[in-house]
Amino acid sequence: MKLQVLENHNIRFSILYILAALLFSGNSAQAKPVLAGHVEAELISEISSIVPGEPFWVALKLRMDNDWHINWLNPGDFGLAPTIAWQLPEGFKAGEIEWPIPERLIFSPFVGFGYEGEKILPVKISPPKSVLPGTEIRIEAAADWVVCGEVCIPGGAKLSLELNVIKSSSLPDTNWAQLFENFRNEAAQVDSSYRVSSKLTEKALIISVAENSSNNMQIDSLIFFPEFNGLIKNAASQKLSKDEFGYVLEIERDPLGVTPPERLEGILVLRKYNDSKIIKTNLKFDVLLNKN
Amino acid sequence: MKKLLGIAALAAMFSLVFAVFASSQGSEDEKVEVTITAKIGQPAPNFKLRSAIGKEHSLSGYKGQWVVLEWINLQCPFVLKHYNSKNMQTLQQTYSKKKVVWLSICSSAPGKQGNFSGDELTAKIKEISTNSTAYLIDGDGKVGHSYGAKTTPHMFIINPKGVLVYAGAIDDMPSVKLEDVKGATNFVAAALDAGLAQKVIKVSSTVSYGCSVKY
Repeated sequence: MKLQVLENHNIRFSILYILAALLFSGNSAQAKPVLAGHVEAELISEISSIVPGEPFWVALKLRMDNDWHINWLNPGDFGLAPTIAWQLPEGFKAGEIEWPIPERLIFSPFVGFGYEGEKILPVKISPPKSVLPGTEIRIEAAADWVVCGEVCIPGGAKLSLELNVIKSSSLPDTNWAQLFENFRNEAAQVDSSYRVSSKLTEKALIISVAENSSNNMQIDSLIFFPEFNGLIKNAASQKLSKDEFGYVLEIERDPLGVTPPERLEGILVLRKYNDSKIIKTNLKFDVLLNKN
Repeated sequence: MKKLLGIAALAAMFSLVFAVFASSQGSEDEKVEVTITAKIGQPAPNFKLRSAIGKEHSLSGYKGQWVVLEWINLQCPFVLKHYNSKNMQTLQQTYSKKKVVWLSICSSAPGKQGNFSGDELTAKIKEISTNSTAYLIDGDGKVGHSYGAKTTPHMFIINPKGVLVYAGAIDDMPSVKLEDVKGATNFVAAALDAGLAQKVIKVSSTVSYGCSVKY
């Protein structure tokens, strides 16, 4: 008798559940942020439902308390870049973290490269063609970081995200799509309208930047972020000067420096005048490092 | 003696020029007034520091022996990774058996993370069961600055002639995870093994990882 009642309840619950699922299906991508130490972490997705075989973007969204930061892939003088270990459904593949443009974080006499405030670290996920529409998939990520201010504290969070699989035409998740869009607008790009070259002298790294279309570029500021750690003195001021082709950035080498790399890879954050306005360009580059 | 004085004078001049050069370059918010005199392949800067138990140790006093300098901050998670995993104590023990002098140096300024004194320091050192020769206190950071010590840990190796032969990381696994100690290539062990066997030290400079030294 008792059993029957329960069964009836179960049926009612099932109907309610289906109704609720239908009503709130748009919310299936919601996952709760996790607070750990001085960081609030969350796993977010750009789209609300995924399509078999179509890559999509998720991101580790981090919000740091005031005066705390996490690091770029090259942390600079101290700290450590965050890592993500993925646990994905069968056949799914995760790409590498796409790093936003870092900032120079000054803790005299040291300089770190990293992020304050709120940032997303996007990663491309490629689902297999065989994933079935109508099902739900679960993405799990174990994020580990070291958050630094005056001191450094290790932290981490186990995060997850559930997404519906649909046949075609995935829609953006209106909660987060703008963050991904902003990320793309800011991300460093290879830009063939600039020429970048680099050379290493005994004391300094010298980077030359010129615009292909003109000898008249007017730069307001230029900041270099090296992917390779140990070549330059991270805290050294980056001295900008003009030459006949464009601009030259001279940065003191690390006095205890390691063997220099073959190529120089990094980002140049360039602010130049366009009429009276300042335009910001984030140049990604990978050039031969000339040595003499 | 005259020759020594000459070298000292030259070094002092160089330091002065470097300090002026550095400070004239630094913008207001990133003034760098650090004079790094340590250089791979050059005589390591001498120092005289007091240990946690009040004994004086000078580098020149260890001439003829291999010396390891280990920058330490017992509240830094990167340091604790190597102590909680017993990695550091094992290294200290292994090489002290081979007559290597191991000096842990704390350059945390008073009031900053990792700066301890008195009973608290004694207790902290006991807690980690260190096997180092001494725990030295560099409260004004002068020795740290002269070596360009950036992080904790940051490792330096000096050969019996007093020449700096290694500067950099303890190993090739920048992380705070204890389990990463296994499987990492330990640069200090590799350099000491080569040096003690009178072989060439292949990797003499790496990028250290860790917390910033709390000058």
